Amino acid sequence: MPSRPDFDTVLGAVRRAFVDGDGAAAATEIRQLGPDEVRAVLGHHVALAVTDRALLAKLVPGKEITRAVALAAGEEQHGALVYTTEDAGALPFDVAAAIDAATADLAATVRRLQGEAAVVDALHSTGRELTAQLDIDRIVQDATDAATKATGAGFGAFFYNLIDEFGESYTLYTISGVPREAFARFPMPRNTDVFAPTFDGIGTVRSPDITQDPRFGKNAPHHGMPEGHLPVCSYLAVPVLSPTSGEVLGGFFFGHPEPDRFTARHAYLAEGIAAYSAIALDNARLYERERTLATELSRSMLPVAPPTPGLDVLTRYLPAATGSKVGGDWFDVIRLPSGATAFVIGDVVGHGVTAATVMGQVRTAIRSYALLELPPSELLRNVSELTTGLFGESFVTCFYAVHRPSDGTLVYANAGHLPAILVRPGEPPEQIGEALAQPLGVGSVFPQRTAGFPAGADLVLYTDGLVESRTRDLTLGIEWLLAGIPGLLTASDLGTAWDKLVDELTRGRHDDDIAVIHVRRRGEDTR
Amino acid sequence: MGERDVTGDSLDDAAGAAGSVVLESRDGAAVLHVEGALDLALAPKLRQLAERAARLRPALLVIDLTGVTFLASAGMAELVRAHRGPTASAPLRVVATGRITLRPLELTRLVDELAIYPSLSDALVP
Repeated sequence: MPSRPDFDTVLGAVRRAFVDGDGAAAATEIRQLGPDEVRAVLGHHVALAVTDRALLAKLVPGKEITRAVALAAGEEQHGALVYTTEDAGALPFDVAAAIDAATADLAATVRRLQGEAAVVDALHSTGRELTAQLDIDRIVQDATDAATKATGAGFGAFFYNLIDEFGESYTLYTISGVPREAFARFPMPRNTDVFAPTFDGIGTVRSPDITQDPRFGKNAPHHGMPEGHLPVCSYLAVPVLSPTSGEVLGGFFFGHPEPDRFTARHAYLAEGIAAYSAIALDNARLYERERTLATELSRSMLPVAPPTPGLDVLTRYLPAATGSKVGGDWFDVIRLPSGATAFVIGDVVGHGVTAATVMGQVRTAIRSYALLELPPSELLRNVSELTTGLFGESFVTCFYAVHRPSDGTLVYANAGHLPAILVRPGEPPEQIGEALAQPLGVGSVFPQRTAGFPAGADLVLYTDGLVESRTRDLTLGIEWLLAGIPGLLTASDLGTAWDKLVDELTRGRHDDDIAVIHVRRRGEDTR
Repeated sequence: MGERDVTGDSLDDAAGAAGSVVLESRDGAAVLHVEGALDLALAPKLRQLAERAARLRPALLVIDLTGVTFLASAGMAELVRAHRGPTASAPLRVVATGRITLRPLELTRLVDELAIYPSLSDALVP
């Protein structure tokens, strides 16, 4: 396919071919053709005689065209129609046929290369989309759709292995090209001779007609496809192998009811998509593992509140519903040698394993100082120093309160944490410890306060996930929490009431950790 | 700018998820305009741009929180870092107005430590 200025040369030659029986030149005119017109008039031809009267009338209305030849001008996809209204012989048609014949191979090669470029583009964009995903369900469906389309299969399926929480492997699948119901009645494919190379990760299987394959139909009970199975003749299957562990993550299977539909190119494409899928699945698994690790770590470090004489202690810890933020919140209930009980709630800025490990260390430090019975103010000052030294720039908020049954008081200090809620019998809920000091790792002075904590009094400590989010303003969140407290106190079951209140405040979804301690002083053990 | 009331109904997820930090140079001051939710998702971006701003050796670094719709502790940690972290090179001024940003800064007593201004023009007065 010539391009300018070659095209002008060809165009000139074609125009000179418009001659009458005596060899005298006929006057010619040119009508430029746009890409759509080139496709409609020429198809894959480079040069073509145009004899269709109706077509000519449409392209050049109102003229009595006697001879016309269309030419395509290479990659720009435009072209031209050369025509005359005078007497002209058949020479232009011969020239058109000659040009077309001479360039046919070249044109075919260009088309093939364009096809290859499209394939590479498709593979590349599929790969980019797949590897940017962390959601396994979407990865597998997108990959199945892309591969089914790329291979021209009648239908495609992707069987993939997952590990459940007990470490047991199980297999799921996605379908493309046919409704899922078409597969729903069949058992999972077993590791038969036909499927073995795929499930064992040996390599691609490509068959023009799988029913003629020597491996086909060897296994009871079906000896081939189960009755009612989608008709598979052409067959292509590609294993999906983890690039990190080499483990078989699953396999792509493509079928077509007609024979010999899958070429080596189709197999190449399917293998490419399988490789990208493997990377995407690996990423998703690693991400999931990190998230699970952080959750496990946080959970494993959370205490079971010990029995505390005279106190009812209810605790809640809800890790972030959306994975990325889990790990920073903690609480603790510590019985002190003197008979007092310390309550701790805090939040480490950050997420994942790092935040969870910092939290674990801060929590241990607080426990150690608490058991030495350091006053709250001293305790937080020491922990803040330790935090700065150990973790560099960190930002940890913490509310620390000690209940002394001997004198019925609560002594507390607050390092940048949200205020606590104190409810004394017959009084409205009161916020205590508001804005007393800066967070651990930032501040160095942590004033402490003392409040009466008589029998029948309640103390609520909580983390910010309960009262604020991207869609909930902190000030309103605290107001709503305070408004919910009286209902809690009269509830017959405090645990259920808390679950309900958490649900109401967060509207059922929280994208940050939530920790809560509710302490109620029963009072029978007072001295 | 007046106080913004952000309740559970006024922002949908898409609006809540979108946050941005833009660095601008103004008369020798580097200004970081923060928009949207300044939480764990946006904090790394603020840190990155605050460090880039520090390399410009500005006379003053201003972090403008006027467009912030949610200030989480991860965001406050970045303010402290820009104020006295290892890469802090210029005095920091923070523009915060309205309870959405001021309230968290008050509860953490960061108002004692950070220089807080009610508007960008106030913060830019030498």
